[in-house]
Amino acid sequence: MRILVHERERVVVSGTTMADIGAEFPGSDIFIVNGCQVTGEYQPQDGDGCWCLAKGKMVSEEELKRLLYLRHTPGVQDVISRAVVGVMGLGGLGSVVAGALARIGIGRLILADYDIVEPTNLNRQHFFVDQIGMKKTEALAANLRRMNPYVDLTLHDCRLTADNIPSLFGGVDVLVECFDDPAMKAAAFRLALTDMKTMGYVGASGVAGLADNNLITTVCHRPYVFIVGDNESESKPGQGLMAPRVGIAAHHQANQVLRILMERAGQPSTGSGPGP
Amino acid sequence: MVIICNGKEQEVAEGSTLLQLLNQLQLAPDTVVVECDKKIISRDDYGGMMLSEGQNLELIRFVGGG
Repeated sequence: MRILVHERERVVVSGTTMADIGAEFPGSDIFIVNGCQVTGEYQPQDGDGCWCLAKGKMVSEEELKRLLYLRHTPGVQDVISRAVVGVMGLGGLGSVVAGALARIGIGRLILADYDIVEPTNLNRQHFFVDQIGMKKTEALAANLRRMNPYVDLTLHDCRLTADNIPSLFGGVDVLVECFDDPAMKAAAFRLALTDMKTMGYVGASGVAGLADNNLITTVCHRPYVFIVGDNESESKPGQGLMAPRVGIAAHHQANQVLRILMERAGQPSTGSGPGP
Repeated sequence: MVIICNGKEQEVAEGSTLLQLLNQLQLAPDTVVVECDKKIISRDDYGGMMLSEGQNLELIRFVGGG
């Protein structure tokens, strides 16, 4: 039968195990077949794509990209790798959305924030104590490159307004609104419904405190335009922002970005949802 | 007079503006996106937009935090 070993076709006898194939790759102890990790006893079937890796060994850009293709399947990863996503505001939502998208190998991220890292950010935002005082754009870029050294980043260290958002984010496939200020959330949403209609959009409202997880929803307002949150839980004294619930909302946003990208590429994701 | 606000009937004083409606509903105008008869209203127009009987408004309000 024919299988692919590290993308190269070869003929093996039926009953060959991953451990047998791994013998050709010294030190290999991780076996991946069609994007899924398997044991050494696993017997690949005709047409399977097989990889043998050494645990803890540094990977090259090419290898990391191939691993993403394997994990996510080529059809999905082609779409992800081509995508340009804008993230407005790099706080508890934005820093986490950017992390999720960098990890899956998004093509390009455009990141904007005017602020610096403060001690009060660290209860929920993906920064570190030794980054206090750094510009959020630069601190996050450093952290994202540690997650995926090959992610293409564009940074805007400035305060966003309804006037500069269209020029800074004009060409994105999906724009993610991660502001703290409700007036900017409204202003950005208004743009998404008027001047910036051609892109996908994922906003957020109502992510503070520790109310029920399942009150956080992803609601479709227009084709490819969504708002995540419970629409009620505002940040206020006695109801602060905390990593767990903001993180739920951030990952709703990141997954919706992915769903929009796949839908627009003509490969809608399976499972029910609030619509395109 | 009566207008339709997010699908529900809402009593407003004759001659009210959109801004006055938002104040009546205790919504900070800057945090609300307004759609009137399928058209998004510019924030600059809230104070000058006169409401009329039976008008259909959708108000999408944002709360802070992120």
